[in-house]
Amino acid sequence: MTNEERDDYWKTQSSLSTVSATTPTYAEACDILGYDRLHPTPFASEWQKSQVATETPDVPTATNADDDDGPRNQEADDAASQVIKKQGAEVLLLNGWQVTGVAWAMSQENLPIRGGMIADDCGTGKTIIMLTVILEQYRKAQFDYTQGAKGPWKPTLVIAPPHVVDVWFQEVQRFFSSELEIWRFYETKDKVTNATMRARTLPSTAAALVNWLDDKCPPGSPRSCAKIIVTAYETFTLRTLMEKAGGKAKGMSVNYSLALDYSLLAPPQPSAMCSILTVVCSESGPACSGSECRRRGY
Amino acid sequence: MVQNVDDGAIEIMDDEETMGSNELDPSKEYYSLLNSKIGRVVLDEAHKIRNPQTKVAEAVRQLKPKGPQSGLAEMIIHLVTATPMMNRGADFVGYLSMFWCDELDVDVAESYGDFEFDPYDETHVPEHTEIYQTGGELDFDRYQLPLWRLNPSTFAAAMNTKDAEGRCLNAYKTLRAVIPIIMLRRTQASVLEVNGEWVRIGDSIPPYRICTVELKWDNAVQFVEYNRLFQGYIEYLTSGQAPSKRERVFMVPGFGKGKRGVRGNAGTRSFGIYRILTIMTFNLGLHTMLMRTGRRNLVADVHQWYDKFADKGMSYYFDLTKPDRTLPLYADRFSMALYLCKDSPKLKYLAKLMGEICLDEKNPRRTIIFSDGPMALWNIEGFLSVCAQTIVSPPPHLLPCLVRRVY
Repeated sequence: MTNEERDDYWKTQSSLSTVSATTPTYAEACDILGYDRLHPTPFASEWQKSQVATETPDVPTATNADDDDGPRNQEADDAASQVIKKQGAEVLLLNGWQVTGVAWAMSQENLPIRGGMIADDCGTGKTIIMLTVILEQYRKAQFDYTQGAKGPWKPTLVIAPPHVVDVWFQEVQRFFSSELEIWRFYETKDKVTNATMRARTLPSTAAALVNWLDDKCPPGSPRSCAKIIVTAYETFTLRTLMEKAGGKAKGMSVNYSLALDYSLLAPPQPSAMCSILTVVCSESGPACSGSECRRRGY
Repeated sequence: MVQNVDDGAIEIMDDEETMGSNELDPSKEYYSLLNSKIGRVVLDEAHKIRNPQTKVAEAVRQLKPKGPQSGLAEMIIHLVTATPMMNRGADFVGYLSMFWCDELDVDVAESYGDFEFDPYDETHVPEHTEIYQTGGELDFDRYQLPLWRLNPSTFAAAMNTKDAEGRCLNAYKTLRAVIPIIMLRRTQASVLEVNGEWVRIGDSIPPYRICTVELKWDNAVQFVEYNRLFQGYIEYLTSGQAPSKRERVFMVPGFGKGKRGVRGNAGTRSFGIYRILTIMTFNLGLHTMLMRTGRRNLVADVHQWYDKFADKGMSYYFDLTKPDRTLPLYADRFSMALYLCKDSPKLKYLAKLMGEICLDEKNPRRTIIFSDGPMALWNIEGFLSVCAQTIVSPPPHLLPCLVRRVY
């Protein structure tokens, strides 16, 4: 890519206007999460160990979250988050914007709306942000538990398109398997060929899932927070959404007549009412025209 | 109906079409067995629930604990998507309906008045230094977020109103008022300060590049030949009449076979003409070949060509297009490749590009090539294999064009 092409690329990118929530700064976010500013990672002790183990200088050590020459370019998956590979164990290093994203998402959970939207560009690691949020909240729950809090603690449900379900599964197994547990509420056990995935596939009916949740995820245990159930939109809807048999139409839980009135968005047209008024008015005098009616909002 | 779904039928791949037919029946009442069992929901590719009146959106809403709530809602929802507004700003109604609970509302009349702010007045955007304390908690006393703006009904109404001059500026203002409360969006061009340095996000991840390349004909001969063919076909396209038999140098699909081709399938409706135009723009040699075979480029034909000779049928191409019948086949790859791309600037450009990408000594990469139509695909594949590149192509039965018999 020539320099001119590169400049053009960034010109186009920055001309796309963005409106966004404001996040804490990187330094603030690191303080909030308790991360090291040079090596922001949720797995600080593992990171330390991998550093001690890699005393030899020729092993690439990421010195900064935005270091371009770090151990990147391994695979497309690794592109947005640095991965230190040492003796089979992978330690996740977050990038700067991911740290601020995590801090923002965690603060959104404290708002009365309980949550938010992360709409970062493709490839910037939104999945990693969400998983780190889940991990941090799990640690918080554990801390609360030692302080005598009683919960309730409940698992996390991830709903994704079918082709992304296994991506979530693999991301958790790869980076977060030491603390988080992921279960698939997708497909049936006998159809899964991969042994790891088969062991982590839940029964396929909602009733069985409820039994499983009651059994394995008691609200009094902070360990419930560490469980992630991943499913696909259509599968989840078909399996869990029930119609009340013989239920009277009490209306849906949401009842905005959302059908947006597109006539309002169209250029102003004299409506039938307006034209009738025009006719009536024109007999009384020329002062009241159709446009006058329109301006008055008839 | 939903309760009786067989297990085997459940792993349906959901796509946009099935979601569209998935509308809620307003005469029914729904419930979910998982109600209040889930603490946090993460919706990946959340634009799938941008329409709140679908069963999918209802299935998520039904997870929320029912009954009187005090203070915070008990279920956390995170939406994750890279394309929050796919079609229009009103898509936000679907997202807002996920977060909304009626306790957040204030007097509606008051809230309508508040939408009349200047969109460029940034005072409504909370300053992070003011609302975040070092402990990580939001300080509500210092700054009260206008959460009533997230009411989907108010939002939809405000999106629909117009200003005095009939413009839809209110929609713009409304979005600017709502987005800073719930949505975090950083693009590749966003910058942030990390340890005293300003970092652009896109610099840290491999960039992608989309470019359109304009190619010209290499020489006047090609240009004249292309123009001649083009004018011939354009006449048919505009008038629907084939050139008279004496002038007809082109084989037009459907012509010369009674009136079958003319009726209902002539002029601009003739798919075959577009196909031929596409093919000859790709490679003039392919047009010559098509004329000399006297066949329409049916998919089945092209797939037979693959097997004609060991070089993926490129010798067949040579046989049919060679200017002199006595010309022997080239014996080396280089001359053959030169011959193959002599009438096609696109193939030449492709060869150069593949050389840069795939044969890069430091960082050789793989490439995916998409092409429309089996003939062009066959040509590309054969050409690149003559250029000694390794090619993996999908088996023919997977090609959608073969399945649908469009080409």
